[in-house]
Amino acid sequence: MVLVLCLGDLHVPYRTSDLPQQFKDILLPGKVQQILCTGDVCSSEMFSYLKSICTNVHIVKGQFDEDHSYPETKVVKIGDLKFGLVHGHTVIPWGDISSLGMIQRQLDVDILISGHTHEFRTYAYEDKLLVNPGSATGAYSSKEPSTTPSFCLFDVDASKATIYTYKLKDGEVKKEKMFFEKRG
Amino acid sequence: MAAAVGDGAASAAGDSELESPARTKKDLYEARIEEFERVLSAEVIDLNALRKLALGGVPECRPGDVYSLRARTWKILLGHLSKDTKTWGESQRKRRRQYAEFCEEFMVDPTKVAAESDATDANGAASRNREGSLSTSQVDDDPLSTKSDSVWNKYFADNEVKDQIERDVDRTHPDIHFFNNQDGSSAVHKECMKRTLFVFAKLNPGLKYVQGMNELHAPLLWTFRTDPDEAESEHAEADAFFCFMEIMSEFRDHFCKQLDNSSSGIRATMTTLLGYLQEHDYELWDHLVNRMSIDPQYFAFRWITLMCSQEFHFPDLIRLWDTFLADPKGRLDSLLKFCVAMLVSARDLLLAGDFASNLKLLQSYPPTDVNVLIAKAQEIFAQSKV
Repeated sequence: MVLVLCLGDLHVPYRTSDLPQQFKDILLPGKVQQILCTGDVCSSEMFSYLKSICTNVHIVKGQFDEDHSYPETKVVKIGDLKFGLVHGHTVIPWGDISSLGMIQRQLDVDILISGHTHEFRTYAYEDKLLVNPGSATGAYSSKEPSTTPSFCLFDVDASKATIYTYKLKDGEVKKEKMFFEKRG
Repeated sequence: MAAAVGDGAASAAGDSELESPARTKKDLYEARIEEFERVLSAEVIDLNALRKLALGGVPECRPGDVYSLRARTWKILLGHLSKDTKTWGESQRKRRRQYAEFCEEFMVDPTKVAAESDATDANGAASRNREGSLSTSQVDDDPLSTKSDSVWNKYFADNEVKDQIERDVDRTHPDIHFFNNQDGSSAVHKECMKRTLFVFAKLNPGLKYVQGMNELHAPLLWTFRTDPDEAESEHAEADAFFCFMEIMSEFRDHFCKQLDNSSSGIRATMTTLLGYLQEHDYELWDHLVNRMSIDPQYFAFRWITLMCSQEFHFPDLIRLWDTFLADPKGRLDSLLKFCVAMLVSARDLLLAGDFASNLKLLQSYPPTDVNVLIAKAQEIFAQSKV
C-alpha cells in the first residue's frame, strides 16, 4: 500500500498565489510516501512546501520553472508499476494521445503522468495509462483563462492502483475513484 | 518441601551425611522438580502450595522436558489458567479465539478494506482497462480524508502509536538471542510484541501505549514461547497477551501521567516504598531522604514501573518474576519489599557515599545475586506485621 500524490502546474506566484485552502487542509504531512510533480511549480518556496508534505518529491522541468536543475523526464518504480513523469510542453501537439504514447514507449512505463494542459484527464489503452492531474491551483493555461483545480492520489498495491481524484468545484472538494490494473 | 531460598544450600553439607545416603544438591533439586510436577498435575491445583514453591524459584527447563514448569506456574498464578484443571482446554480455546478476533479487528489495512467494498461494485471489473477514459466510481472514504470515521484517518492515527511501540520493541533486551538475532526468529517475536502492545493500546484508549510497557510483556513472551510443549508455545502470543493484561491491571496507574499525584499513582507507590524503608532501616532512610535529599523519582520510578527489568540481567529478572508473581501478599507489595532489600543490601556503600555516588549506585545498581536479595527481603519483612 503505497500512497503517491500526483500534482503540478501550480504556477506560483506568477499566475496564482497559492494552492486552494481546501486542498491545503487535506494535504497533511505523514500520509503520502511519494510525490510525482509534473512541473511548473515555479517558485522554490512552493517546492519546499511540497517537500513538507512528503520528503520524497520527484519533479520534472516545466516551461516556467525557476530551478533549471530538474530533469526533463523521470521514471519511478512503485510496487510493480513503472511511472513515467514528463511536463508535456515539449510533447506536441500538446495533450495529443499518440504523441504522449510515443513518450510512454520511449520511457517504457506503465503509467505516464504529464501536465501542461491544466486539464485533468485519464486515458487507458493497450494495458497502459496516461494521466494528467491538471493544475492543482487552477492556474490559467495557454488555452483556458481559468481551469478547475485538481490533483490525484494513487494507492499502489503491487500491480494494481486505485486512483483517487480531487477536484475543487463550487468551493467544495469533489472526489472520484478509478482503477487500473497491469495485466501480464 | 516448601523451600525458602536458603534451604537447598544449607542442608546439603551439614546433617545430610549423618541422616541418609548423601543427598547432594542435585538430589534436592530433583526432589524440588518432582514437588512442582506433583502440585501441577493435581486435578485441582493447590494454589497456596504452588505459591510457596514458586517463591523459591521455579526450576528451569531441561532438555527432554515435556512442558515448562515455569510457563504453567505463571499462567496459573496470573489467573490465565484457573485452579480447576478440567476447565483449561475450553478456557484456553476461548481466550485464544478472542485474541485472534482482537487482532483482526484492530490490525486494519485500509487498502484491503477499500478493495473489499470495490469488489462488490458490479461495473468495475468488466469496464476496467478498456480504451478511453477510465470510468469513475463514487468515493466513500479516501486516503486524505480528515473525517473521524474514516478508515484511512484512523489508520494514520494508529501509525503514530505503532511507531512508538516499534521504537520500544526494537530496544527490548538486545543482548538476548530471543529478542535480537540474525536468523529471523527474533523478527517474529518482535512482531508478536508489537501486535500485543498495539491491541492493548486499542483496548485502552485512555492510556494507549506508554514507553516501558514492553518491559512488562517481554518476560511473559519469552517464558511462554520457550515452552517445550508445542501445543502451548504455539499460542504464546495470545497467552502472553492475557497475562500482560492481568499484570497491567495492577500496574497501569503507574503509566498514567495524570494519575502521578493520585492515591494510586507512581508517587503514592514511591511514598509507600520509602515508608517501608523508614520502618525497617531508619538510619538509611534518614541518610537518603533527609541528609542526601535524594528524591525517590531518580531511582525508584524506574525500579517500580518496569518491575526492576532494567536493573538486572534477563535470567535474573525471570527468577525475580517467580517471586513477584508467587507472593500471596500481591505483586506490587512483593516488588516494593524487594526494592527495600536492594537499598538495605547496599547500605554500607550508600551511607559512606555522597549525593553523586549514591545517585550513581542507585541508578545503576551493582551486580548482585538476585537470590541473596530475595532472601534479604524475606528476612527483613519476616518479623513485621506487613
